[in-house]
Amino acid sequence: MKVLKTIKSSNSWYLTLALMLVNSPITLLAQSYYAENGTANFTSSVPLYEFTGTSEQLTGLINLTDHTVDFYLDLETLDSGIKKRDKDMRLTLETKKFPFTEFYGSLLDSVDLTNSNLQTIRTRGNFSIHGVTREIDVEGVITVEQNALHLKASWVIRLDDFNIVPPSLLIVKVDQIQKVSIDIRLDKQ
Amino acid sequence: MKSIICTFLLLLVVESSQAQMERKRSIENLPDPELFLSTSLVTAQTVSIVPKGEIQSAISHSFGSIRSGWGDLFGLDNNAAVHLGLDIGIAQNLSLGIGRTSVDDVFDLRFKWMPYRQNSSNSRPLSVGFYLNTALKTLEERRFNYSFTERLSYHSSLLIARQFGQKITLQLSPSLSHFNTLISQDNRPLQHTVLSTLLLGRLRLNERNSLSFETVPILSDTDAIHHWAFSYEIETGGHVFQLFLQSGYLFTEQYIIKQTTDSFWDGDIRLGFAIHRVFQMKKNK
Repeated sequence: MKVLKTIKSSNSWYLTLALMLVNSPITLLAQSYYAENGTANFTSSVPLYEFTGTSEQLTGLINLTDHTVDFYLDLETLDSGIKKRDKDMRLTLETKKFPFTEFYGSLLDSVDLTNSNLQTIRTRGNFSIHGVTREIDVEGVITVEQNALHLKASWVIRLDDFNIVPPSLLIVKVDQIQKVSIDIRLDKQ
Repeated sequence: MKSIICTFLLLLVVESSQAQMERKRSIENLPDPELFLSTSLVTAQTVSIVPKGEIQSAISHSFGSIRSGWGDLFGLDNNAAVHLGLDIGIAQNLSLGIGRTSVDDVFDLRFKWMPYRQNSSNSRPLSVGFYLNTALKTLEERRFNYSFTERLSYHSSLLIARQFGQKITLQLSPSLSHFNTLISQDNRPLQHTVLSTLLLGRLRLNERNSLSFETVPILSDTDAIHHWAFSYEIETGGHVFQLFLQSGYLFTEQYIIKQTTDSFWDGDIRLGFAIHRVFQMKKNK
């Protein structure tokens, strides 16, 4: 009778542990790195002129256990240095309807945590902006730091691929090519 | 039994670790309402102010009277008046500006302070600020030899505005204007100081287009001809374009208040346009 009671108790302990792990925001077995203060730049060009919308509120997660990468940005945080241009950018990107841009994908290369030199890594995943999602490949560089990963990456998108109609000024139009770059230091969870 | 539970547990952990993060908004509050598209309508200053760290250039151009008809293409061939302006946001709620009007070669130095601005939560239901300008008429007069002080005129306004709903903005600007020198044309007593109320309004058609008006009921002179102007505004990429119809061709507040001689409602109307362009003083890092 006593033996049976012990077994039941052990089962309930496992179940409790399982529930705790499933509900925990931090996965104990995963080796993940996270930040919510990364920098994202969106650079646009018009003839003879270039301007950049910058945000310091890029949120990112890199999970080295399952090789996933997940980044998102609230587009309303982009600041181009001119309030009227910020408003124009928000209208163009329809941020009320589509507030986030995001990239969710997988690491194609492994990160060597013992190597403190620059490591080139490739990712493939879905990039979304303006309600349109497209699969893209992004190459970046990672530096392994003390309990952190420092990631820099950049890529270009065509605005018409994402149904974004660039604003125009009389006959001068914003270029279809937009440069996107990120710089983020992710801390170990 | 233990191995089954452990396998189940691991599967759940792997499953949960592969899920995307929950997307959280970084900015929860709605942006404050934009009461007017530009810092001034045709002539009158609005409660909008050049933000800190930005410079705004403005070119206003008014053609001749449309009364001239087809012969002068409704005033487009006739003498024009031009105002050039440059305003700098020197602090969050403070701007300084300089301008020049081609009529009478008037230079103006202006100052705007907007300490209280309507917000989206409605805890501040009005925008309230203060505007002051000093104008210097530099045109040489053959009849008189004016001193520097005699060439000066002043204008001050309390700017009070509110956006009603999403579409309509009204602004009331009780004002005091003063000319150091006036010339009597018809032996009427001269009134150097004038009390008036500028009335401005905007109808927002959509995010980028507006219709607006300005007028100046003059409280201290019932015989005065009141300035009127109507404007269609287009905003795009840091620019605001205005196409307007106005009485007269003056671009400084005290001049439209004191020296408007054309009556809009009698058909003394001029077509004009203005371009406002904002620049960044300091590049983003």
